[in-house]
Amino acid sequence: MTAGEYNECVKQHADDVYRFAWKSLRSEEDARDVVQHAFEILWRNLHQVSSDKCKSYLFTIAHRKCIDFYRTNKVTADIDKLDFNNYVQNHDHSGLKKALETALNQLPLEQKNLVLLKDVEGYNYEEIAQITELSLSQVKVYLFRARKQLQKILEVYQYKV
Amino acid sequence: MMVIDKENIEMYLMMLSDGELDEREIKVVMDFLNNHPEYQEMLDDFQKVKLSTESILFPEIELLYKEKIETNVIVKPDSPKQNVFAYLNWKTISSAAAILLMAIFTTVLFVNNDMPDEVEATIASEQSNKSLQNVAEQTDDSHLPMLEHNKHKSESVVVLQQTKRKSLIAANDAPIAINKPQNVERNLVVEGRNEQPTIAIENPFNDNGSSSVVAVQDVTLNKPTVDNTYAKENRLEQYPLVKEASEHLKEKVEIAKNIVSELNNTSIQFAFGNKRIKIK
Repeated sequence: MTAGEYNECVKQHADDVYRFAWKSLRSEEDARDVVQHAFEILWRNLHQVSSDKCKSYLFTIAHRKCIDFYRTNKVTADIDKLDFNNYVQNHDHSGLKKALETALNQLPLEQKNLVLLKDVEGYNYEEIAQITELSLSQVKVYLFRARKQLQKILEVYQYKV
Repeated sequence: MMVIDKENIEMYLMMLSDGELDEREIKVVMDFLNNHPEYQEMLDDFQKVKLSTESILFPEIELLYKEKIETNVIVKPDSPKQNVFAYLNWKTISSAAAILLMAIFTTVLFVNNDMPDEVEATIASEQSNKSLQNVAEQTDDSHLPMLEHNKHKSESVVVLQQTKRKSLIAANDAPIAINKPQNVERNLVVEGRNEQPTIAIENPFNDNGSSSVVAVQDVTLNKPTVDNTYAKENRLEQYPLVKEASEHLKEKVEIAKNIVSELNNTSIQFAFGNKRIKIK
């Protein structure tokens, strides 16, 4: 990859990596650090990464960094602390969206990142397995658990999906 | 062959909602749903918990861009530099310069001097400088005609002598030549420390056909005091040669003085095989 291709990679994927990190960590400051770290690593290893692989490379680094932040900050999911009152009262599309995001934040980070990579970033299972360094069957199982957990969270708080 | 049952239908429904099945698998799942419509609601639940995409901009994207000076050049930040000058440190450069300087100095010494096996070349002392300078100053140049003088040729006296001899022959005068004039210059410089330089004047065209010394002139005198009628008659022909020698002596003295002043506090000693050269 050349410096020009790197800049093109920044232009095309910086916002995506930031969105993924921001939704994963729920911290704007931490998300900025993740993006800076990911592109710094990409610049250091520019000769090892082809331009068509730069996006998955960036998300791999961002995923690892998010896991590090998650473990360092001791972020834990606590379903009992959820406050769905506002969402339950407004059973419209915007309310469902916010309820899903709130429920998503209660998932373990590994499962949460899988859902984000699939639904928000649009990766298929094989690409997610490559990014998260999991097997394809693990990706399927973890995603299934995450989907079922989201359904369960919304049902518990009487938000019938 | 893909087999769908009640144990794995949920997984296939999730994969169907995620778009991870091919046409054949989709057909199998849809056939199963047609046979078991109670699972249709489960498929809807998977589709509803899917997140939607939204646009979020990274506010510090300008900080990520790199300068494009290396566009179209593969950047290898972790690779060692391929610059050949990276291997030339100051030690290598100084060693090369010292070797080059020694080679030039040795070449100059071998060309300008007869190298004995063991040479201890000492720059002319102050006394010898004065002696040589006196020789040049005592030479009377007032009666000498203009001469073409090549300052860069040490053999200029020889050229002058040959030219003069040809003109004398053409005029049918008594030819005069200075025997080995190049030695005159060297003797004046090297041996001038202990004895007065002399110029041997001979007539190479005598009756016998052999060269013979006809006059010995002391160049330290203001005027040549040659006790020889032949030399007196041809005094004008001697003056240019003496003039040439004196001019050359002056230049040599100046060069020697400059060298002494430059290398007064310098001492270099080096050896080539069995030849050892010491310069103080």
